Amino acid sequence: MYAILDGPTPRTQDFGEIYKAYHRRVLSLCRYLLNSKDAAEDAAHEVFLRAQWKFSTYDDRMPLSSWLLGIASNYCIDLLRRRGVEMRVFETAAAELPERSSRGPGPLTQLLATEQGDRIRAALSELPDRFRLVLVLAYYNELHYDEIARMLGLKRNHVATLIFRAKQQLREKLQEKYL
Amino acid sequence: MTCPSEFELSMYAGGELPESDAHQIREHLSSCGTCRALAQALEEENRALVHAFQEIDVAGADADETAGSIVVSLGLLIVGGALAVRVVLDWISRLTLPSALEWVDPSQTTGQLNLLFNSIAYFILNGGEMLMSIIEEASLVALSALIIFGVIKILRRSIGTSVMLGVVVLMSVFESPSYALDVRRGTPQVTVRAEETIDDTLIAFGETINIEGVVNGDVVAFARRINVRGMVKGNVIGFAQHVEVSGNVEGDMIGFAQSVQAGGHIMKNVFGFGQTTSVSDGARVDGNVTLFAGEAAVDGTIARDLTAFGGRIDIRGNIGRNVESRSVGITLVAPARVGGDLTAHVRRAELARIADGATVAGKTDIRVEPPRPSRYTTFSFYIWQAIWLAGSFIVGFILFSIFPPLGKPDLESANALLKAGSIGFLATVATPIAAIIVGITMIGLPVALLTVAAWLVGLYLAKIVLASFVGRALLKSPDETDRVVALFVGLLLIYIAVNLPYIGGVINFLLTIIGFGALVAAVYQMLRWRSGPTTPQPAA
Repeated sequence: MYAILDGPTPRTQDFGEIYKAYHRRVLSLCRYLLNSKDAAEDAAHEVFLRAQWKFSTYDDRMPLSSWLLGIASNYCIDLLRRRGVEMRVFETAAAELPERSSRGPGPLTQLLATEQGDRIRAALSELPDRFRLVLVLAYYNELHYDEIARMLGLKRNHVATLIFRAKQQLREKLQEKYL
Repeated sequence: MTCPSEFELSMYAGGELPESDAHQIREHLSSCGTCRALAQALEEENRALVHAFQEIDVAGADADETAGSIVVSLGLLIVGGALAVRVVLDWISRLTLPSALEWVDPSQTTGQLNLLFNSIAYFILNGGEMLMSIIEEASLVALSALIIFGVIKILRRSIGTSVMLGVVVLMSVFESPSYALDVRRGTPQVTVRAEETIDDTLIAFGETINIEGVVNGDVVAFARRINVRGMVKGNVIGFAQHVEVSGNVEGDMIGFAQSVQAGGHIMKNVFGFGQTTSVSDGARVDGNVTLFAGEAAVDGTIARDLTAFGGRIDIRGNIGRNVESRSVGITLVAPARVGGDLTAHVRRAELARIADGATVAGKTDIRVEPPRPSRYTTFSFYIWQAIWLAGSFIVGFILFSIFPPLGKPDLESANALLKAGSIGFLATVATPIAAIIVGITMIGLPVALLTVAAWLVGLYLAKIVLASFVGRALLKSPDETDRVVALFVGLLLIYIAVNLPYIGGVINFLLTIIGFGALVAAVYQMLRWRSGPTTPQPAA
């Protein structure tokens, strides 16, 4: 892996290594974002193709995984945008104020800590696209609100609201299902 | 200062507040326990979320979960499908093989295709009715496969549940679309009393199942002991240690049991699979009787044909038409009477005995067929299998070293499996036809020959590709070092499966088309992968 980063341009075999090392992580991200196994596999495939074409633009001060996950996120967001089902995430109006802050369940640390993976996955997959999207970017990619806002073309406040609402919904889902 | 909103605290916990605001909040927290607790909980929640999201390897978890189970369901489906196909093939050969087609030996795998096509041709010429019933059977088999597939896909239940549900659904469609189902469970027994009438299909589970009343639909029973003394207007299908019918059955009687005893009056056919099966004295069967049994005894009256497989059969009753025996031994004792021909396949002449007083109206044909040595008992069989296995292994190893993607066919969902199966079937059937059409023109001949060569190679590689998938799935997506082991394990399993007695041939066919389909899909995928705008090609 280090050899790749040192060298000026990666060669075919090196990219094979990259693929092997990161495929699963990229696939997971696509799976989260797109909420479909088949679509995720196609997307991951496409992401690696794209990554390969523009490998020359890769700046090695940034971790390779972030770069790849960035490409994957952008690609999946594009797909979702094109899907057009959930246009609201891309509207600029910050209409969704956290008006229900007092009514929703509080933080679910206990639940999350003991939760099995498939339950969270199930709850996550039931969230609307826009909520799933921001949660994944914030907690799987560990991006800051600013970065998410840039990626989605939204205002920072809107992102904050979205994440807040998304977490509330996730808590509700987990609570109604498993408590 | 008033308490900040949960929203603000949430931003604070995520480290997303500008420093000035964060400072204010920090000050507030030092004095307000409620807010401090909330902020702390929110921080913990953030950590837990990061952990939860990143711990769940969605793709990986899923692959591991499904790959193993898909192999199991693949295996079950293939074995089930093969059994169904074989049963239908046997049924065809049993019912309809005219003497003109005797040379086609249904017990020889090579003869089966001839048999199938010849039989179909025969039906088209001779019996529309039989053709209809074959189509019905075939559509039932297809229907059951579809339903089971559907249940697996929709409900995502375990294969066992799915098969059960599939069977239940199937039974409800079985000839009687208007019936509802009556499912009864009971320990130790389920009894339909003499005065009771059930309008539905009855599915019963229990230690002992007694049917003394009337069932207007089918009876499907799973029990240690099943007694039908009453009246069943549909079919009786029993899985039990002991199945006994002494009442009236208007449909077929199908018994899988240690002992199957058909008495009373059965208006259609009897199929008995068991250690001992009998058509008892005083019983009357209006249709055909087919018995697979260690010991079979026919003392009653059969209006049509009797076919027997297995150990030995004793006949004392009256058979309206022909008797065909492939049992080891057959005995006719007075007052046995056969209305048609008697055909017995035996290994030594003295194993077929027709006592004085037993009559055969038609021809009596005792065929002495010295046993072919079972291929499983010859040493060379295993040697050859080992050689083929080693060959496939080496070919597979080289193939997957050069083209790694071929070793990772996508068969991990029912959809992909179905897709591979259909692609494989089309490619298997359509390629030679296309080659012939192309080959007719002289210019196309080389193309045709090449196509046929590629086709043959593909057929050979099909099972190797499938073996790689099976091995990987069973060893839970192994890394590179295990690749070789996975291939070997997969190949070994497949070689065992295709050499199973009775159903091996059909399994071979099914595995080949699925593997061929997966191979075609993988090659296509590889070409697509390569035709990308870049010149270097990633090793996938």
